[in-house]
Amino acid sequence: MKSKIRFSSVIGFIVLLLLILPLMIVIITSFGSETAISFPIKGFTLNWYHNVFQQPDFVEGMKMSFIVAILAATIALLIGIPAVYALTHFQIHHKSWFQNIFLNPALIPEIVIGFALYQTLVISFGLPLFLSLLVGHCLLCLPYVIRLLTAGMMDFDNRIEEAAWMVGYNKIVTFFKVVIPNIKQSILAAFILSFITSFNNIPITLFMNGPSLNMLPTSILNYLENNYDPTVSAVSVILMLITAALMMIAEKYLGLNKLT
Amino acid sequence: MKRSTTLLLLPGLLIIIILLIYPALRMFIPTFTSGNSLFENYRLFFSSSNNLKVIYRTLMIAVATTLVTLGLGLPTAYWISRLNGNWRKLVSIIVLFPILTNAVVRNFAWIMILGKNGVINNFLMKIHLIDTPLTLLYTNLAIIIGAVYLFLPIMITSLVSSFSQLNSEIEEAAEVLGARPVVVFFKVILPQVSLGIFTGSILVFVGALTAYTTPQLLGGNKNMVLATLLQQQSITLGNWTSASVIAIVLTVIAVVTMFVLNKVSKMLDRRNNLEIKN
Amino acid sequence: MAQIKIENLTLSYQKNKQILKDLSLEINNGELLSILGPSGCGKTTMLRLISGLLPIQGGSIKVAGNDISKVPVYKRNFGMVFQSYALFPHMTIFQNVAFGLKRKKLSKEVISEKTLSILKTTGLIDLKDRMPSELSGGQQQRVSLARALAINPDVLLLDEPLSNLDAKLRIEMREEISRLQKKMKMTTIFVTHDQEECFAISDRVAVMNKGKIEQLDTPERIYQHPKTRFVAEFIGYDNFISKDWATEHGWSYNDTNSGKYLTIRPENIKVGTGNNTLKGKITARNFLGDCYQYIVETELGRMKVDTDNKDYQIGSELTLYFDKQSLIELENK
Repeated sequence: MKSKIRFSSVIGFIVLLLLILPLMIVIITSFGSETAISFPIKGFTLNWYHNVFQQPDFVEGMKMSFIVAILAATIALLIGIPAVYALTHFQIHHKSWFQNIFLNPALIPEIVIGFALYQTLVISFGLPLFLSLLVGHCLLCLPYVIRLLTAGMMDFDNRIEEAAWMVGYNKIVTFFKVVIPNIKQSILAAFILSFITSFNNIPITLFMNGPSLNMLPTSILNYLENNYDPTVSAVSVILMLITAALMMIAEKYLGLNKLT
Repeated sequence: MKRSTTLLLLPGLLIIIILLIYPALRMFIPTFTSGNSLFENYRLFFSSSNNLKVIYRTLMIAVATTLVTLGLGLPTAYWISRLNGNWRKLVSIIVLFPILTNAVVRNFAWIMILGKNGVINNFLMKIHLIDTPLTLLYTNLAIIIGAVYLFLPIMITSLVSSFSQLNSEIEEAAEVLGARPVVVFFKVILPQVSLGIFTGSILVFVGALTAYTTPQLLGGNKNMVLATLLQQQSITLGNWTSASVIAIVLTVIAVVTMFVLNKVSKMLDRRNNLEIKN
Repeated sequence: MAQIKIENLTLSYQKNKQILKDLSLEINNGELLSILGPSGCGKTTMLRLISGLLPIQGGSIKVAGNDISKVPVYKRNFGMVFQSYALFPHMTIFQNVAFGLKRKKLSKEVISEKTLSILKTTGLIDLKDRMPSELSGGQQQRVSLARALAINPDVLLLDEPLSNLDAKLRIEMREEISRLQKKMKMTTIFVTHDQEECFAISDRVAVMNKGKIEQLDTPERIYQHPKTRFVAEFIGYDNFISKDWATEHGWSYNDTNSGKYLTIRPENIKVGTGNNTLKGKITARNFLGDCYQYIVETELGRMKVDTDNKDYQIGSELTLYFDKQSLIELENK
């Protein structure tokens, strides 16, 4: 018993260190004063953070990534909530078949989704890049929404809803007054997870960005192709802060285990 | 189906059918129809030794990543599942944080660590273990390291949830019956978390198989995998049919692996599904 | 099979929170001793200390004269049946039962032979190739017992083994346990919170409360002569009369110690007049199947009276008669 715990705790501790240290190095190098990234750092400066905001690609990209992530998560919820309600409340023939369709996007590699959408929507249909990108990100978010909301809806006791009908609320009012408030934790979890999935996405975004449409992750990727300076460290730290903020929101309102 | 049900399901179904399945078919069908014969494009793809190398490398990286994450993940997850209260919370945050952090950031960290003037080379030269920097970056090893870093938290998370469901009395029963801790771990605990092992392995294997950012940043141009090859053929070279073939091959490998591992794990699950009955 | 001697066992999680307080107990060779108590009294903790699943902080445990306090659990050669049965879900019934034998460096034939033999004894032979998930609760319980007995343990430990079974199976299984225990002359410690099942099969019973043994006796002695108020309440004595009050009112009773209370079972209170009586008002009547129970509010508090007479009316007065021979004197606790 004890030696088992001791062995696994040693490995576990090392693994945790390995998980944190690389990110620590990123944080430290973002303050280094030399123009090439070096570790350990020689001097201290905040210039690289300043430089992040001098890069139009980063500033524009951050803005666009935010907009797309919020829109994609919202649309995925608007599509997902009714579908999950139907799938969990009604007798439907071939229910699992429908569920599989909704989880379908998770089955196809993201880079393939990006490529297929680019070929059809952008090249063949001539759809604007932004719209095509949004479609891609909605598809990306949908499986998360479906999975989290199905779990939330299953936990919800249907008899509460029936009780509301009994005292005279119609089904639509009941849905908004009784069902939604009771699954709001799952909705928030789905939103946060969708947001971060979209915000961090590269494989789909890769195909549908361009001079007119800058997204943050691909902008960093492009920047890295030509430069190797602590600006990337600095923008990485900003991304980590966004992650940390989302985790704090999740922890406060949901408990972190909701996100996994 | 009732009308209201149809109405609720319709938006989602339409979006998936029109905006995912239809584009996928449009990509899929020309790979058969555009060649001289039905499988011409695939024959061409598989006859290139370079392509076969890429497939082999992709699979090798995915397998290695899965095995390493399993090896590191199992003891770590076991340890985490035994933690309580605030420790558990802190450790969960450390595991979850990388999952939610952009892959570019996480791979960039390893560029700094593995690069020619990176942390490892600097350190080794400083202690005079080596005179010239080792080539660590832009190798298969670098891709595997990056992928392990990327997917280890996911493996740990799915294993922890499996370990946490264990009934500790079963372990104790084995100990009382004379099994040493090592025996208990391999003969009693591991078989019970096989479902978590499969779930984690599916996620990691498919993730590593289809990952783009890691091989792009850490593998360089020489060490192509299917995902980077797909990007190169389509965006860089505009070779649509060839890119489509790669996309199909990648999808088929991913889906078949998922399907097979899922079937096996379901079989195991049925066997292991023990409830206390009255 | 061996005699167990537990001496001054103590355990505390924090400085001030003692789970077990200086507990000593001797279990004879081949005896079935029950530890009876409410949840949280420390009975399961004690069993886990004996089994070695918890490390010993203070005191010692001797089996057949040898101190095993420092022996790790997997070397103790004890059998244990858990509340959740704790069957290995990934092994067949045969593999479950053979698991302990495989650790003993026996030949395959011997393992197989011993396993089959215990499977026969416990009536499980037809189920040997099934998985635990395919068995009913009673069958799983049997497997758990067979697995514990297969290694021919020095001591058999049972941790609330019947609490997950329904009423009928519970009786069946406790008789099975008793039968096997007697047949194999197995020294057995049986932890339970159910007095009925514990009285039915035990040679002796230790009633535990707050980390201490309140009374250690045969089931009959405990039932007829509970020593402390806690024991009396736990095994169904509901009526308590303060000795001071009884003396004041000229009651006659056996006065042999400095205890404060007398107690009496509901069925032993009669209705009548004369000495040793107490007046009260009926507040409720409950039909219990074989008799009626009247709740009578008296100046000493609520008394429960069991009688065949169903004609007493709620609200009416009743004079209760307490026979001297039925009044039990509790110790000062």
